[in-house]
Amino acid sequence: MSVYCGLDIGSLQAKGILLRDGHPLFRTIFPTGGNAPETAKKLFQALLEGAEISSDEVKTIVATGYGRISVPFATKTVTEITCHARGIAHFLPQAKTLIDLGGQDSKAILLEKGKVMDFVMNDKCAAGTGRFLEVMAQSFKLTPWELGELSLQAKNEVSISATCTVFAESEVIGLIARGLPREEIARGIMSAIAQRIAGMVHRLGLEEPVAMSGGVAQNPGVVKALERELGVSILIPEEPQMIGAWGAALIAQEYA
Amino acid sequence: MNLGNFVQAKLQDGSAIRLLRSPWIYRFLSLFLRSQGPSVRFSFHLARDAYLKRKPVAFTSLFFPTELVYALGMIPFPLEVIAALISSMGMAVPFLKKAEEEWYSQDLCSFHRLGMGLALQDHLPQPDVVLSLTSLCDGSHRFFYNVSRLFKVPHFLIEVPGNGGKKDQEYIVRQLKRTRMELEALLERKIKKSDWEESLGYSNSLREELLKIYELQAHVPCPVSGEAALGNVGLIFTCAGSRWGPELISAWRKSIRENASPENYRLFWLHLRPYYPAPIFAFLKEKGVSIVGDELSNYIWPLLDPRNPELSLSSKIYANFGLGPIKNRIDNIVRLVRERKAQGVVSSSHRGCRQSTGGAFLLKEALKEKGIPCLILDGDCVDPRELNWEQMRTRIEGFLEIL
Repeated sequence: MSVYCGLDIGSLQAKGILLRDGHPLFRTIFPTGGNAPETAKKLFQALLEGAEISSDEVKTIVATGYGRISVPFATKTVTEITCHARGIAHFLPQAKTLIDLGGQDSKAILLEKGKVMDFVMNDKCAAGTGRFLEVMAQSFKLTPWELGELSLQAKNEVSISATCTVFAESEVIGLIARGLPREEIARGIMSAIAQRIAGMVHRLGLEEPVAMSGGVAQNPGVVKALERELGVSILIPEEPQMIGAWGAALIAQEYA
Repeated sequence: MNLGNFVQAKLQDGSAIRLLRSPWIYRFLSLFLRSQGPSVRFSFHLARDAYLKRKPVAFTSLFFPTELVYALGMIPFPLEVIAALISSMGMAVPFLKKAEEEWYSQDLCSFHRLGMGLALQDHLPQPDVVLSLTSLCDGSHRFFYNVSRLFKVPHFLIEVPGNGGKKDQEYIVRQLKRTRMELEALLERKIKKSDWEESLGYSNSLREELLKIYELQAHVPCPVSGEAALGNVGLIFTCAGSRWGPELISAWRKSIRENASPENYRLFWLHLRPYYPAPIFAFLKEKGVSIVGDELSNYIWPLLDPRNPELSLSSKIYANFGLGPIKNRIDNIVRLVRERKAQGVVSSSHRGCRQSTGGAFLLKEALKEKGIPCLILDGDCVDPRELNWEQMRTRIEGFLEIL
């Protein structure tokens, strides 16, 4: 039986999955690093080794993510917009709005039966992305996940006024230095991200149910802040960071 | 440094433009002129006549009716078109930086910032007058006013109000007549009946040629390059009223090959395009996208009547469907999308352009209601520093996947 491969070469992480008959054979994640073509090659090799198959058994490879054009051995390239939509339709077919928060970009996607009807992307600014969260967490000497957890302990929040990542970092360092409660600053950071994303979602027109994918969807602080900001519950698939790769593999299967 | 590197360096820092003031350059270039197409010959004549001051020079804004300029024996020097030209040659950044150093904010339209950079670096010819319209562009009249102060020449502003009703047209006619009379006094030259006949006649011929191009754009597959059409917007507005107008558009039409390559997508383009070297059109071609029209090169005006020139020009000004309520623009876009059998619309949202970005959301919503997908492509037409190609590519590709 043929095997299908989805490779999602993101700005921070490269994710890969092999499917056989719609079921995962093997999946893995690598840091993308500075050489996307080399990472894609190593990722594919690791998938083959993990699944204990040869490359001849892989019928179709679909590459997605910002590094999709750096995968010369891909059968087809598809944008992460379509791949995340296809992936979420597999796990949460009821979703009508998808928020994909990745390393360096954020997207709101309007879905109808798993098809993309419209989308909005962030522009020229990393606020509201995984990178923003990383920079903010560094100010606290925490991981992004720990920062999210910390924010959940707060009852109130300290408002972060700067939207630029660099200015927001200085503002947060200043707030920490003033001795303001760390959990309240953390919650302020989560709200700043949520406000930015909610703006994009409302531009499209919020339609429930809302789902979330991408690495940032694993952060409990961001999810909670987004639920507060949008006034809805957000559905999170089991491995939100793998949704793009899943979608790519499913498209590879349909394309074959 | 070899000659190639020297020329490239001079082009990049913009100092090569100073050579345009030397008569020797034109003598040298004229040796090669006969073998060139009409757009090169037109640019040569425009630069020579303006920089060597062979004729009175009018700095003009994009939509100013150049028929009046040609009828007065002047030459229009369209600063926004020149900015696009400089950008297309990869020379924009030093001039943008110069304007920014002089407090022209990066939030302002880069066509005007670049124009101001050229003026501040003394790279423009000395104008005799500055002529502008308030049509569409809200920043242009302030920019042109500043330019007129810098060059110490009069600025004539035509204010374009409302929707083009009878009273609005009468107001424009009065302003055009007053401007014409003041210019006649300034230049000591009266416009004769034959001047209007010639100028408006050329404009009517240009119109006829454009209609033939529009007809070709509706063909499936579309034989007209959208990149070329968007590139010709400046020429269409600069040549109206001169012999170059019909000649240029006729040459363009003749260069179009009827046997177009197969197409995967047909899109209609709104506003202008990025002029600086960018992979966008090569990418669209690779994806099999035909740009089957754009709103600015699809500017068609009623036939002009030399017996009533100011009223005719007023009608031409109001033929711009970007004027008045946004419903005018939406209705015309929907009509053109249907006529050209386009599957979707790309709205190029030029940073700093309030009229374009301000209406983008309303436009997208209205098109959505009509079942026409619309991609709002944020970016800048002139400033290459604003290009994030990876993001732009994902947006375009994602949009094509929806289609």
